Amino acid sequence: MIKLFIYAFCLPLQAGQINSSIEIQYALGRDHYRFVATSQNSSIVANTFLNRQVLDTGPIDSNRYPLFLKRVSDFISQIKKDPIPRPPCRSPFRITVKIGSEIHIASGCRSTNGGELSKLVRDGEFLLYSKNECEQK
Amino acid sequence: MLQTLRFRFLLGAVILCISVVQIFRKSFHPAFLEKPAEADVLHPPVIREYQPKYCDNVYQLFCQKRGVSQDPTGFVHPDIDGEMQALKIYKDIIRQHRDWNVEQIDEELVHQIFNPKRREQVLTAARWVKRQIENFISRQPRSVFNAQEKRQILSRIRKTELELPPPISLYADEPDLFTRNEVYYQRTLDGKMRLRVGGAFLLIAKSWFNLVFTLAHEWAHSIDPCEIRSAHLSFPAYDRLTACLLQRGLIISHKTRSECQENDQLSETFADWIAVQITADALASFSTEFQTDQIINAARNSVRDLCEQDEDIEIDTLSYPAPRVRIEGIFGNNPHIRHLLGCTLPKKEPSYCTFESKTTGSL
Repeated sequence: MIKLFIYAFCLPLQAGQINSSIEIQYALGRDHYRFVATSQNSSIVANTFLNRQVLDTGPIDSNRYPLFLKRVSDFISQIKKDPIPRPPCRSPFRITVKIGSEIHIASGCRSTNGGELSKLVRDGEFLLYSKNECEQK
Repeated sequence: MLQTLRFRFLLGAVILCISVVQIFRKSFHPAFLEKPAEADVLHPPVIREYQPKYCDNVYQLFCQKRGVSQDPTGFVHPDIDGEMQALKIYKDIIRQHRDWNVEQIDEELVHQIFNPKRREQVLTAARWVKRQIENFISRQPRSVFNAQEKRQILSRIRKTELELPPPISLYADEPDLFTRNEVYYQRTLDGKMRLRVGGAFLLIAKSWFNLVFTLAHEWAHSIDPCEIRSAHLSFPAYDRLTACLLQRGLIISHKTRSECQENDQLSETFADWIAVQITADALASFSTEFQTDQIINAARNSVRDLCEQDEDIEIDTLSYPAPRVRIEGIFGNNPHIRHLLGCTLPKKEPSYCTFESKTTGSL
């Protein structure tokens, strides 16, 4: 938890120095989606999956990853702080952040939290797809 | 000689008389009237002695064929194709406009995917589906729903809105939907009931029948037993249907099952059950225009995307019935669907579940 706190307030200074990863899993309708970003030895790679099938994979911008990691970490802290009582959920999600040896997990329902989950996913995918195109050029 | 002629004349006259009497009897006597003519008007002919082999395994008929599936109204691609196509459009926009921010890119993405032609296709299907579900509820006898119950159900159907961008602000709280393959029903925390359609779905679902089944399934969620319960309503007809679905094994009744909680299949099975009634109407309206193989292709496309779950992928079988149950048990056993496919009713299933179903024994 301390490392998560440090990350939330001290990033992007420490980004790239400690191995980290973000995994966002969510169900939408009958499909399962997964976004994974892994920072290891200053190389940052992301993957998107639909029902275990790879949609896209590639490097993401190391300058923008720390801010993204901070946003995801903030979101986890927020969910843990204010868990929203919810009815049976049609679109559940689970977020896992690993920073060094610490693991932080939060789960919730897509329709709550003002759509923050969807926005996080969109931003993560934008990082991947925009970097992908730059790399290919 | 004359006597012989007389005898022959008399014999001929007798034979003629007997024949006339027989003809008369066959034509007018009730015992000789052909009853099947009347019966056929009420119940169109079904092959009773022989039926095609596929009738024994509708799941295989619909799911064996991989890849794109075509019917006279259009095609259905595998889910992953839609996501890939949407992703390509998204990447192309990013590459062509490096100075744009996320919102500008989404704006262009919506402009390209949710174009007027595609939107109109979905809107037309949605209007038709909504009307058909209303009709389905309205025509239920008083023994199923009383006037007040009908009003309550119809009100929920009518309050449910289809949200289809542009503008992009419509999905401001779910921007990832622009490239997703989903159509889904949602009741927001403030009680608003809505249907949203992902961009990838618009790219791959061109078949009228797939649109009808998909939209009918989602619209049915607005009146599914769990939504009705959350609105503090209760209908005996729903209880009868639920009991029958459980007894037939169309809802898995595991030890930890808690009705309408997570992992319960009731709402999904109900939504499928309603969608099948509406899809049967859609298929029936084309049945005089289509040949048998076209009807089969249209029926296949209705539920084609449900087969995809059966591959080696992570499956949410907890809240959704298994693909074989959905396709074989709920869709393929519906009497109207079977009739359209030229199949008799399955022998092992005594009857298809309805709002009037009576269950036997304990559940």
